[in-house]
This record gives sequence, C-alpha cells and structure tokens, in this order.
Amino acid sequence: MRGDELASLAVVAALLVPLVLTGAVMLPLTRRLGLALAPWAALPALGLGLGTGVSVHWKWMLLGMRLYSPDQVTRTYLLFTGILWLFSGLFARGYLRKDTRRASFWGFYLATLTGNVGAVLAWDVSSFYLFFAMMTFCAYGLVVHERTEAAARAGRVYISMALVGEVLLLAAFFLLVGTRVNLSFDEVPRVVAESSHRDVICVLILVGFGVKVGALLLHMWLPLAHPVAPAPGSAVLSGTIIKVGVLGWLRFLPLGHASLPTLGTVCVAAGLTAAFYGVAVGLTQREAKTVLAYSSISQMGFLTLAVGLALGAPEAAPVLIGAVLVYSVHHSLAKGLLFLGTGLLPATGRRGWRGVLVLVGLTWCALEIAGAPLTSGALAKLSLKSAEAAAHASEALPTLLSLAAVGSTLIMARFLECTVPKAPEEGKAGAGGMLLSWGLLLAVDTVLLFWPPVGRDELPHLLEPKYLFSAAWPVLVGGVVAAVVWRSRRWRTWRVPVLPAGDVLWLLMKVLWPGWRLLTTGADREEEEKAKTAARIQEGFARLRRASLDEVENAEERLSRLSHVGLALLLFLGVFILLLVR
Amino acid sequence: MTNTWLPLSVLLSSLLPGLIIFLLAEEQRRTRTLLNLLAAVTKLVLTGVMAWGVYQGRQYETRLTFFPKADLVLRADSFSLLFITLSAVLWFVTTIYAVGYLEGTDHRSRFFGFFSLCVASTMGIALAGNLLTFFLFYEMLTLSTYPLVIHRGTPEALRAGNVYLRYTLTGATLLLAGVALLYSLAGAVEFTERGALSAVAAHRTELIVAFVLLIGGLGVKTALVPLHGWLPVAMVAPAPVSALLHAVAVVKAGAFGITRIIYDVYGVYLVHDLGVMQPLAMVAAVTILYGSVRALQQGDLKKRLAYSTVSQVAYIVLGVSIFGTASTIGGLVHLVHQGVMKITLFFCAGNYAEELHVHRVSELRGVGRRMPLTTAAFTVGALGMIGIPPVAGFITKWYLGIGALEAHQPWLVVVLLTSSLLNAGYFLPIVYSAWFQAPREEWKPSPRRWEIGLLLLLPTVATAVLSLAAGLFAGAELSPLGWTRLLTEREFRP
Repeated sequence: MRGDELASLAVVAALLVPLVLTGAVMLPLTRRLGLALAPWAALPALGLGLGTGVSVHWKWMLLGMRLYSPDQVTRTYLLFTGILWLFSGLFARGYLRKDTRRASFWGFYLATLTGNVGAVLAWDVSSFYLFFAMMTFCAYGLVVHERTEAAARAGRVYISMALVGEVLLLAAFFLLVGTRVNLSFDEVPRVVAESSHRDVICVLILVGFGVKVGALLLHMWLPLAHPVAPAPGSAVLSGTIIKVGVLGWLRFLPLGHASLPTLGTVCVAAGLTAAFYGVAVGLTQREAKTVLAYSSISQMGFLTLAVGLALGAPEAAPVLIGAVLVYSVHHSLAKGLLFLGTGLLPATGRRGWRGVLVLVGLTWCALEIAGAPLTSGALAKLSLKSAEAAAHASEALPTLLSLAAVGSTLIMARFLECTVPKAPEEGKAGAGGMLLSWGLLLAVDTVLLFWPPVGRDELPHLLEPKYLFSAAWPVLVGGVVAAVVWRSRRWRTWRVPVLPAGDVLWLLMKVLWPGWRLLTTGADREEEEKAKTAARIQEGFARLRRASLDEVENAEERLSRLSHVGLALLLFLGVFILLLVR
Repeated sequence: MTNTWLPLSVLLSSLLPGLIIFLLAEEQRRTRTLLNLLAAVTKLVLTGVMAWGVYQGRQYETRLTFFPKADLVLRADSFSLLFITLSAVLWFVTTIYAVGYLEGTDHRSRFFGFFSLCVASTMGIALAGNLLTFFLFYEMLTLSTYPLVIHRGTPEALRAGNVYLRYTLTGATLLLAGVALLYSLAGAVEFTERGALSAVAAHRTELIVAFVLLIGGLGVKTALVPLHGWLPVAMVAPAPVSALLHAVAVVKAGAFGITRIIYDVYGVYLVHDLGVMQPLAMVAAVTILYGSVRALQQGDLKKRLAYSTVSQVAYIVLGVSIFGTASTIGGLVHLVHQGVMKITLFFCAGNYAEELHVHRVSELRGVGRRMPLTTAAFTVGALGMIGIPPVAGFITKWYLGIGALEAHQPWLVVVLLTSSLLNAGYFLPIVYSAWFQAPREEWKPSPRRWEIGLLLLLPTVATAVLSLAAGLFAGAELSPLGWTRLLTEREFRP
C-alpha cells in the first residue's frame, strides 16, 4: 500500500514540480528560490522514467484525467525527456547567466516542461490535448525569447502552424471520442480501428501531429524557430518537443490493430522524401542551427517512414514501435547535444583542452547522427532495418536508407563547417558549468549506448562485420564527398546557392499574406508601418521639391553665367531678325 | 414540499436595494456601497441555499395572480439556477468593480439604482415560470439597461442608446406577437421540462410562425446576425456595464430565452419535428463566423470584444439548436463559461482604459510589464475564447464538436474550428504585443502598491481564476459542466 502511494506521488511530482516552479519563477517574491531550483525541475520525471509509477485517475479534473501507464512507450519517453530537460536546464543556468530576461525564459521553459511531461504521462484523450497544447503554446515563449524581428517572425510561423495542427487534431478527437466524451488510451487504438471514420481520423492524426514532428511540407516552422531560440530552448525543441508529435502518432494511430496500406505507403514515401529533402535544403544553409533543424526534418523522415510501415503491416507494429523508440532516444540526445554545442563552442573557444573536448564531442555526436559504426545512430538504424525486414518492406528500402545516411553525413559535415570556423579562438570565463553539464550529457548519451532502455537485443549485432560495413560505407562516402567539396572550394570560390530558411513557406506566404491583410482590413496595422509609409511619402515630396527647386536654381545659375547670356542674346537677336526679315 | 418565499426574495434582494439607492443622495457613498454589497452577498447566500435545495430535489415556486387566467410565476428549476448562480456571482464581482471604476464620477446613485434594477430583471427572467412573466421581466431589462448605456451622457452614448432602444423595442414587438400567438393557441404556457405544447402539436403552421416570431424577438438581444447591430455600438457604456451586458444581462437573457423556448415551451422533440432547428443552427453558424471576421477588423479593444461576443453567444444558440445531448450540454454550459470569460476580458479592457487610457489594440504594446496581473487575466480569457485547455471555453468546444458529429452535421465542426482559428487571429496578436513587444514609451509607474486599485484588480483576477477553474475542474459534480449534464439528462430522458 505504501509503495503504491509512493508511486502515485512520484507521478504527481513529475508533473507538479515543474508547474509549481513555474509559479515560483513568475512571482517576484519567490523568484530567487525558483530560479535556483529551476534547472532541476526535470529530475522527478527522470526518476519516474527510471522507476515505476502507478496509474492515477482524477475524475474531477478536466474530463476525467488519467495519468501514467507503465508501458514501454511511456517509460522510454519519460527517460529521454527527463534526461534532456535536466541537462538542458543545467546548461541553461550558465548560458543565461547574463540574460536580463532570465525569469521570462525560465517561466516558459518550466511551463513547456510541464506540458511535455504531461503529454507523456497523459492516459486519456482530453488530458493529452491539454498538455500538448500547454507545451505548444508555452514553447512559443522560448522561440521569441530574443525579441528580435526574426524571432517574432519565426514565432508567428510557429504559432500559426501549431494552431492549424491543433485544429486538425481536435477534429480527429471529436470523431474519435464521440458520445463517450473522453477515452482512455487503453481503448483508443481499438476504437480508431473499429470506427467508421477510421481513415479520416488517421489522416487528421497524421497531419495534425505531423506539424509538430516537422513532417514533409509541414516542416516550415522548424528551420525558423530552432535557430532563433536560445541554445537550451532549441535543444529541447528538437530533442523532445518534436518527439511528442511522434508520441501522438504512437498513441492515436491504430498501429497493430488495423491495416491501412495506402496511408502507410503515403507515409513511407513522405518520410523518405523528407529524409532527402531535408538534407538537400539543409546543405544550402549558412546558419549552424538552421542546418541542424533541417537535419532534424531529415531524421524525422525516418520515423515517419517507420510509422508508415507499421500502419501497413500490423503484425510488425510492435517491432517497428520499438525501433521508433530506439531512434527517438538516440536522436533526442544526439541532437540535443549538437544544439547545446552551438551555444557552448562560442563560450569555450576552439583552442585549449576545453575547445578540443567540445570539438571531439561535437564530432562524435555528428557521427552518431550520421549512423557511424558503434554509435547510438548505428543501433537506431539497425533496429529500423530489422524492423523493416519484419514488415516485409520493399527490397530497395535498405539501400535508400543507406543513401539517406550519406546525406546525413554530408549535412553533419556542413554543420561542422558552419560551426567550427566561426567559433572564437579563445573562450570566455565562466563556461565551466555549461561544459560540465554538456559533458555529463555526453557521458549519459554514451552510457545509454551500452545500456539502452530499448533495443537491447540488437546490441550484439553492432559488432558483426556485415553491420559494421553497412554502417560504415555511407559515412565514408559522405565523408569523402564532403572532403572533396571542401578542398575544391579552397581552390575555386564557388558558393552554394542559398535557399531561405523555411523554403516553401515563402511561396505559401505569397498567397496567404494578402488574404490575411484583406481579412483584417480596418484593424489597426502596426502603427510603425503606417508611420513608415507616411514618412516615405513625405520624403518623396521633399525629394520632388528639392529636385524641382534645384533644377530651377541650376537653370538660373547657368543663365547667370555671362557667356550663356551672350549666347542667349545672340539667339534671341537672330530669331528676332529672322522674324523681321520675313 | 414547496417553498414559496425564496424565489421572490431572490428577486427582491436586488429590486429593493435598487429602489432605495435611487433615494440616496449622491454623497452617501458609504451607505450606497454598503447597501450594494449587502444586497449582493444576500443574493449569493439565497442562491446558494436554493441551489442546494434544487440539487436535493426541493421545489421553489412563487405564484401571484396578475390578471385572471394569467399568473406571474417565479419558479426555480435547475436551468434557472444555472443562470441565477452565474448572475449572482458575476453581479457580486461587478458591483465591486463598478464601485472602484466609478469612484469620483457623477450620478452614481442613478447608476447603481438602475444597475440593481437590471440585475433584478435578470433574476426575474431566470426565475420566470411562464412566457408572460418572462416577457415582463425581459422588457424591464430593456428599460433598466437603457440608462446604463447612456450613462456618460455624451452625444455618442445617446446615439448608442437610441440604436439600442430601436433594436430592442422592435424585438419586443416581435416577441409579444409570438407570445400572444401561443396564448391564443394553447393558453397560459408554463415552462415545463420536455415542452408544454404537445397538446397542440397538430397546428404546425401556427407553431412555426410563433417560433419564428419568438426567436426573432429574442434574437435581437442575443445579437444574432443580422439583428446584432446594437451590440458593437453599445460598447460606449462604462466598462462594468459592458461587462454585465455582455456576460450576464442582455445577450444572455436572449440566449436563455431561446433555450427556454426550445426546451421548456416547445420541447426539443417538437422543435426537431417542426424542422426549425436546422435553420436556427445555420443562423447561429453564420453569426459565429461573421462575428469573428468582424472582430478581426476592429482596432478598438472594446469593439473587438463586442464582436467576439456576437460570435460567442451564437455558440450557445448553436448548441441548443443541434439535436442531441452533447451539443445541448455544450450550449448550456457556454452560458456560464462565456459569461465568466467575457466579463474577465471586459474588466481587463476597463482596467487598461482606466489606468493607462488605452483603448486601442495597437496601444497595448508592452502593457504586460506595467499591468502583469490584468494582462495575465486577459490572456486566460483570450485563450479560453479560442478554446485552449484548460480554460473553460475548451469544454464548450469539446462538447459542441462532439454534439455536431453526433447529429451528423460535420460542417458545424468546420465552422467551430474555423471560428477557433479566427478567434486566435484576433486575440493572440493582442496577447503577443502585450507581453512580448516593448512599449512605445515607458508607462507611468503605478502610484499604488498594485498595478491598479484593488477594487478593479481583484474582480478581474477572480473571474480569470473562475474561468480556469470551470475548465480545469469540469469533471467535478458541482462544476458548471456537472450541473449542465444533470440538467440535460433530465431534458432528454425518454
């Protein structure tokens, strides 16, 4: 009995600790205490991920809130979510030491954490939506933290796309729950599978969560939002928040309960396309964090593909879900480390032992993302490939995946190329705390390779020559290509064409923006804009006046020159005489 | 056992203080405030007692003979209690707010006198047990709100009052015609659960005509498009009046009336059978979208809120005009939810105007730093209007959406979701610029300990907390949702 109480307390604490700290940070009276404790807020969630909780049911909360189920998905998600938030938090303490808007950052950070943990814990539809929305809206504060124009624009794109996603999800939830008003996740997959609106629900779920995942053509917010957020913010955005989209797929799609081959094929195609498309656009980017964002889009393509396969082959769904989890853990930590690294390197500099340590760490993470042998990436790709085999996927798929891995290697090389040369030679004082938390996260990441929460069965295969080779050649090819390109650019200065971050968004905006302006005619525009126009008009007038006056003055001056006067007189005389003679 | 005095005393608890306040001199500030608060607290207590009684299954009815064969009936059923509780609670907070808001202005006795009369009429509407009683109090509401709308006495206010009277009196005429038609058809119609007209159900044409007249009449106060024109104009009234007008008194009286007509006069099965539900749902849908689009185009904060009311009150009408339990629950519970959320927003608008003389959306840049609590309350209200959990509006949207699908009307889900997006379109930019943009020039620091006087701040925060609580604890038995569920189950019991 006491054990049960303790376990339910652990569940509540995972949720309430960050929530209470959010309040503490917001209130001036408790701010100091709140800020001191804030970095540790994810500890209870991590603890719950390591241990076991019990399900909680509060009938009076929202539409009957259920939390926690001791299944593999929940526990894995809790684990990597807790780890990344914890170390990002510790990193942020150093990163934001001199930031004047520290309290604002921590407020949003903690609230987003609450939403994220809640979304993992939620075991009914309406609570999931509550926490999902909380996470989405509070993460906005992380995106616009810098308060620059670019941040504001990224924030606008982020929130608009998120809203569209939420609306689609709501439609799906309405169809799903029906007159039962709310459903526990125990029933959801079965209800979806048996629903007469099954296909519509699945499409809405795929697209609605696809916005969060950054699936193909729903990805536009990622490359805008990730670079403008502070490094710890980008780390959790890319590491865990977009994974909640995948979690949504796992929770709501009838994986293993129904076979939807057409939809599955569409997902597979979209995933593969995203894997290559993300690389292609990412290679043209100049900003390191934007490159990473495109890499995330590409990597999320693999997860989309796996989910698509599971949709088409119910019998292989459990294996595929396992592979998705392995991949999520791997990508979450590796990408988190990379994003944090972009914030760390300017502080440590690239010289000295600290710089070398960071460079080595970054390279290791890049190799992980590329899927080099004996890294977590290799394990993730291996589980993905064996799961595909179980799903009897197309023969071409492994080859395509290896080609995509070449792309991953290239984009990681591009990332290093964007990061390292820009970093200062010498570091700044006070980078110690950041370096320590980053180093610890790197250590945890490495430990998890030997002791992964999921996919432990695949671990011995990593050493088999066949897999060593299949993991090695894409990285080698990618590495060689990158080296060749890099060398050739030293001889001849040819530049990569630049695509604006957000790529297709800008085409879309050409249609959407005028529509929005039309819809909001009459409302106050940004007054500055009005003033700008007015100023421009005034300036125009001034220029016109100046021009015309100058013209007159110039003419006068020219006239006043004697020789010209003489000439004019002669002309005048000539015309006069001509008239007389006639 | 029937209790006869309680409904009457609930009514009198605001009627009598109102009459006494008229007699007070302008300077008797303390007496007036005391009387106001005493009345508000008394009403809260009485309402609480009555709510508990109804929950336990007790009956409350006061019957007075008005003229032969036509009684004035005041009766408390679970639906009236939903409305009464809302009014009593919001009246209490609005009284506090109004005392603070009008401090040092003229004609306060007049104001609070009519203010109390207005609440008394609302109580009458809520407790009315038949159409005649309903009509009387409905018109009393029109007459007691007019002086409040023109309270400032500016030409603009007088013009607004004019428009208001023209609209509402036309509505009254239609309503009276409808009432008369039903009287000629079925005699004195008492409000009865599951309808009172089954005996004359054969007279389809007359019933339909009467329905159209009644809804047309009530639709004016409900601000259904195209009868909504008065609402955005009437926002010249002082903030507490707008708050009450939009949240409890006028628009809600209309929505409440429509619900009464559908459920307790005709009965939902009869209305469904007559085929008038679908057209009403369409009108509501058009109103929802139209209100939202117009709100997008307003630069004046209160005007934007007014158009948002047009849209949001139509949610209630939409809910009750879709056949099915879930949508009915959604519609009825929105009566409460919209009230709490909208009053919060109007309080905030009032606070901005009072403290910083800010009236336009574009002037709200960076206001969050100067008035954090007010802006936090505004944020809660705005998120609720969009329907983001856990604020109350989410519960409404959830039930309405489910209800629309239950009734096989997926197009209504599209309307609802589009409206959510539009709501986000006109609320989120405000929230953004209030919190994240730098102010154009630094705000003058507050001379007080708090960002604004406590009389204005506390009601604002309190209603914001209520909006949150109504959503967060919706599953509790005594939440608005719990109460509405109870009510609806009775209505649909076969």
